[in-house]
Amino acid sequence: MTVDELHVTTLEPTDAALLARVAASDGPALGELVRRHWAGLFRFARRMTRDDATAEDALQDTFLAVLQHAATFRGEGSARAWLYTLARHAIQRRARRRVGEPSPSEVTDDVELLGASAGFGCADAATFEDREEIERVLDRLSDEDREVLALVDAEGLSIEEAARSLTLGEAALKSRLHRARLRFMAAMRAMGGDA
Amino acid sequence: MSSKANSLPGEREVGGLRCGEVLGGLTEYTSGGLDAETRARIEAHVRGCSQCERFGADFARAIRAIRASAEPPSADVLVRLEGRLAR
Repeated sequence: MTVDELHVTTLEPTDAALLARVAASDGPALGELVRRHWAGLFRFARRMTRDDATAEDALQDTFLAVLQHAATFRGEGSARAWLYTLARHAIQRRARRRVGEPSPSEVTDDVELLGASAGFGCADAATFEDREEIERVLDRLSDEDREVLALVDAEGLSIEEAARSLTLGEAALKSRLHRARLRFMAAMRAMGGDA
Repeated sequence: MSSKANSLPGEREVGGLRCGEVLGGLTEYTSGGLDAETRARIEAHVRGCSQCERFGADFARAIRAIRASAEPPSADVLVRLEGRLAR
């Protein structure tokens, strides 16, 4: 380890170290966790609740749960995955399912049928330039699809972290992610066709 | 890798893989979860199959578009959160 690396290590404790300090009633450690993760957790909550005020409530609940349960984090898996697990629970308590939202059982799971809907075999390239359209399409996906896309593709959790957050095995996570990506592409094409 | 046949328009076999098998492996491919031999077979298929090349590019752009949709929220959210937690 170089002196510079030691300096960085000293300045930036890991999330797990901060959680241990929170468990020992170190208030500033919670503040540091908040500053590191509020934006990603808020985006995730907003994506899932589709409502800023509810997302802020869920964000507050998440960090209150960190305060309450920090001592139970044993360092198995990443601390970030654990934070997103707490956020999921907070969101589930706060969110209300939209009437008419497609449930996973209402749309096909067949990868090849999904691929055809997503544009496989189409001569024209898909367009993903319109951010508002992307937002609308993501909002129309099922909770399950939106959740896995938010965690992995939007927030950049690893497959291992997302699997741990969703209490899935990695193979199941990848299967869910793959279908969600194809359904997103299919919905983008459908939206383009509707325009 | 396996998947049933005949669901994809214009499906063909290139490099020992069907298009459906390549389609089914795209997330595994992008997450680095495949062994070197399978990656090489997928890459060989894509080089020889314009449909999979085009769809693979769309797939990658879709992932980047979702990533790009994650804009920084307003800093006011942080201010309010810190205020609520301090109570």
